Amino acid sequence: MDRALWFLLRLRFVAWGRRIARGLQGIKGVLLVAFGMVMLSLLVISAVTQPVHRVDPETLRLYGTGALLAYCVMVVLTSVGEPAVTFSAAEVDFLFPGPFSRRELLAYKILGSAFSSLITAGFMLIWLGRYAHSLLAAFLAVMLVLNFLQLFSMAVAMFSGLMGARAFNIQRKVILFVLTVAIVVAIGHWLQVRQGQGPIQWMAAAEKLPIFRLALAPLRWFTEVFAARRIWPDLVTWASCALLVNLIMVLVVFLLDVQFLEASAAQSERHYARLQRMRSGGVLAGRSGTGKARWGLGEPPVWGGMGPLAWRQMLALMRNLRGVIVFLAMFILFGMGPAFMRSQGRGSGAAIALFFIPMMTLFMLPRLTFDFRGDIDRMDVLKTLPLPPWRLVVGQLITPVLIVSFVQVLVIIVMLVGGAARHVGWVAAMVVPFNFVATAIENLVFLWFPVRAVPTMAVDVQFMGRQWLFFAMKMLMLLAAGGVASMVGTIVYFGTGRNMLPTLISAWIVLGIAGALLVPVVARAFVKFDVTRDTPA
Amino acid sequence: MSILVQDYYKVYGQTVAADGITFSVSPGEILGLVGPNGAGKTTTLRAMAGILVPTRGKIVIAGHDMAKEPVAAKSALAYVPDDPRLFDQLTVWEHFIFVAKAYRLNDWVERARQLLVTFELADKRDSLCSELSRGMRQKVAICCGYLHQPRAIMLDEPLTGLDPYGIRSMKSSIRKYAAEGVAIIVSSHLLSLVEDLCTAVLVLHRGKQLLHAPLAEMRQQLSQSGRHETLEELFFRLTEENSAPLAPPVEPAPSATAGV
Repeated sequence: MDRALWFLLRLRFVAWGRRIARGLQGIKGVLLVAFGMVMLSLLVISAVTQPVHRVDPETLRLYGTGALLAYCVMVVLTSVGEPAVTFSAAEVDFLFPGPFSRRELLAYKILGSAFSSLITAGFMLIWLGRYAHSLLAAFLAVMLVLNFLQLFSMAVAMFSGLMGARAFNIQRKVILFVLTVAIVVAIGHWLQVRQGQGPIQWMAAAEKLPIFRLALAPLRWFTEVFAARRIWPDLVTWASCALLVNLIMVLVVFLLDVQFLEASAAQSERHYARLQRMRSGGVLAGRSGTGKARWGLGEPPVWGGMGPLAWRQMLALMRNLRGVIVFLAMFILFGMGPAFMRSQGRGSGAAIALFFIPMMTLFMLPRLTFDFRGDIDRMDVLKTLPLPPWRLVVGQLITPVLIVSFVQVLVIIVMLVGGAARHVGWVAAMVVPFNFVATAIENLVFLWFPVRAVPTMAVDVQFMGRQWLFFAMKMLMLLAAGGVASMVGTIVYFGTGRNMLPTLISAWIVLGIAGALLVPVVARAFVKFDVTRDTPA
Repeated sequence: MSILVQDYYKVYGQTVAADGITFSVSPGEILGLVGPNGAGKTTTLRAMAGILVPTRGKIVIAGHDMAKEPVAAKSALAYVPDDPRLFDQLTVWEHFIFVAKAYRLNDWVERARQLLVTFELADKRDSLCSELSRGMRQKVAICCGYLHQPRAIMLDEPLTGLDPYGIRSMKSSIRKYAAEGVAIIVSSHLLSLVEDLCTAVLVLHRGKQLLHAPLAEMRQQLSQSGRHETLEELFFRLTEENSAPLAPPVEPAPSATAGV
C-alpha cells in the first residue's frame, strides 16, 4: 500500500485521540467526559461483577454459526441493489482522483476497518467478556468476526459488481436469472421437506449433512475462537483458522479487482446525504424519498399560526413514514413484546400498562424528532416567522405528541381486545397531557444544550456522557411533573371514595398545568437560542 | 495535448449522461465548460478525474490513458469538485502533508506556505477542517489541487462560496497556471467568468456537445456572420434551439462524435 495511505491511516488515528482531547477543553467538556467515564465505569463494573455465564460450546456453535450464516445470506440478498464498497465523502474526493491504484484503495479500506474493529471489539468486551472462557478469546473472536463481516460484504459487493458488468447483455442476464430461480427452488424444496420446523431445527438438520457441515466449517471456526478454553492449542488453532478465512477473503477481494470507484462514489454521495439529513433532523430523517411526494395533507389549518407548523412537521413525518413504521414495529416487537410476555400472569393489566405506556414515551420520543430537534439547521427560519414564541412552541410540539399518543392508544386497544382489565383503558386518557409534558421537556433540554443526534466518531465518551446526563435531567423533570400528578390523583382517589373519574380529571389537570407552564419556558429557551453561537457543528 | 477526451459516452440505465463528447485542451489553454443543470458537466469532469468509468470512449491526461494507466494519469491532474469534502478531523496543514506524500513531493513546504498566503489561509494552517466555512474549505481543496503542480487542472464551480478576495486569487491563479503551461478546465454557470477567463468554450446540453471552439475564433465567426452575440446570448440560443423533448435512448453508435 502507498505510504501516503499509511500516513492517512495514522492521521485518522491521531485525529481520533485529538478529538477526545479537544472534548476535554472547557469545564463543560471535562464534566461531560467525566460523567461519561463514570457511567462507562459503572457499566464495566456491573458487567465484571455479574456472575460469569459461560455459554455451552455446542449451543454457541449452533447459534453462532447460524447467526453468521444468516448475516452472509442477508448480505448476498441485499447487495443486489447497491453493490459497492463504502468510502467516506472526503475519501472519494481526495483518494479517488489521487495517484492510487484500486487495490491500494481497497487495502486502505480493509486496514482502516481492521483498526476500527480493534476499538469496537474492546468496547464489546464489556458485554460479551463474561460469556467466554477468557477475555482474550472473546476479544479475538469479536475482532475476527467484525473483520470477517466487513470482508464478506466487500467480497460480495465486488463479486456483485463483477457479475453486474458481465451480466450486462440480455442473454447473460437470462442465464443468471435461471440460475437464481433454480437455487431458490432447490432451497424452497429443502425447506418444504422440513415444514413445521424452525430455523434452529433446519440448522441442526443441515449440520448433519456432510456437505453443509463442510461448507459451514469456516463460519464455525469463529465460534470456536470464542469458546476456546485454553490459549494453546484451542485459541491459537482456531484463531489461526479464522484468520486464514479472513486472509482468503482479502485475497478474493484483491483478485476480483473490480472497477468499484464509480459505484462507491455514488454510494458515498447517498451516505453523505443521509448522514447530513440525520445530523440535521435525527436518525429517522436519514431515509431519502423517491423524489416525488406520494401523499399530501391538503391545506393546513391556521390555528393562530400553529396549524402550518404542525402541518409541516406532520408532512415531514409522513414522508419518513416507512422509517417511523419500521422503528415502531421494531420497538413493539423486540422491546415491548417480550416484556409483555414475560410479565403475563405476574400482575394486573393496569399495572403493566402504567409501567409500559410511559416507558414507550421515553423510548420513542428521542427518535421522533419532528419538533425543534429536527429543525436544528432551520432555527433561523423559525425565528423569522411572524408568530409569538408560545404559539410557535405549541405548533412545533404537536406532531410528536400526537404520534406517540396514537401508538400508545393503539397498544392499549390491543391490550383491551386481548383481554386486559377494563381499567387499562383509563391510562389512555392520560397519554396526551403526559406526552406533551415529556415532549416539552425533551425540547427544553435540547434548546438549552443543543446537540446533534448523531455522534461524529466511534466510542465518543463525551457524546455518551452528554446523552446519559440529559437523560437523567429529563427523567428528573418528568418524574417531578408525573409525581405531582400522581400525588394529586391519589389524594383525590381516596378522598372521593375510590372514584376513578375525578382521579383522572385531577391528574389530567395537573399534567395540563405542567404542560402549560412549560410552554413559556420552552418559548424563552427558543428566544434565547442564538443561531450563530448555539447551532452545533 | 494535456487533456484529450475522445468519443466519451456515459449511460445510466435509460439516461444518456454524455453522448459522444470529444475535445482536447492544450497546455496553457483554459476551457470553459458550460451548460444548464443536468447537461453532463460534472459527469464529464468526474470521468476525466478517473472516478467514473466511461461506457465508451477514451480519456488521456498528459499522455496517459486513464483506462490503462490510471495512476500515471491521476498523478498529472488535479480535480477540485464543486463541493469539496475534506477530512474533518485533520488540520489544513495535515491535508497538505498528505497530498505531498501522495504525490511524492519533496520541496513543497515553501509552496504550501505561499498557497496559504495567496488564499488567505495562513492563520488557518492548524485549524481543523470541520471548523472552516464553506468558502475556506473550497480554498483548502484548491490549494491541495495546486500543491503538486499538476499538468491538468479541472475545477468544478470554483468560485462557489468564495469571497471577493478569494475570487480574485482564484482567477489570478488560474491565469498564472495557464501561463505556466497547465491545461485547465473550468466548469461554471457564471458565463461572465468563462468569457473573462477562458480561451475556449465547450457547451454541453443534455449530454450532447453543442459547441466547442476557441473564444476568439468564435467571436470572429459570429462577427463575420453579422451576429453580435455575447457568450450569454449564444448560450441561450444554442440551448433553447436544442430543447426539444428527449427522444428515447438508443444504443451507442460506434463512432458518434461531435465537435465544432
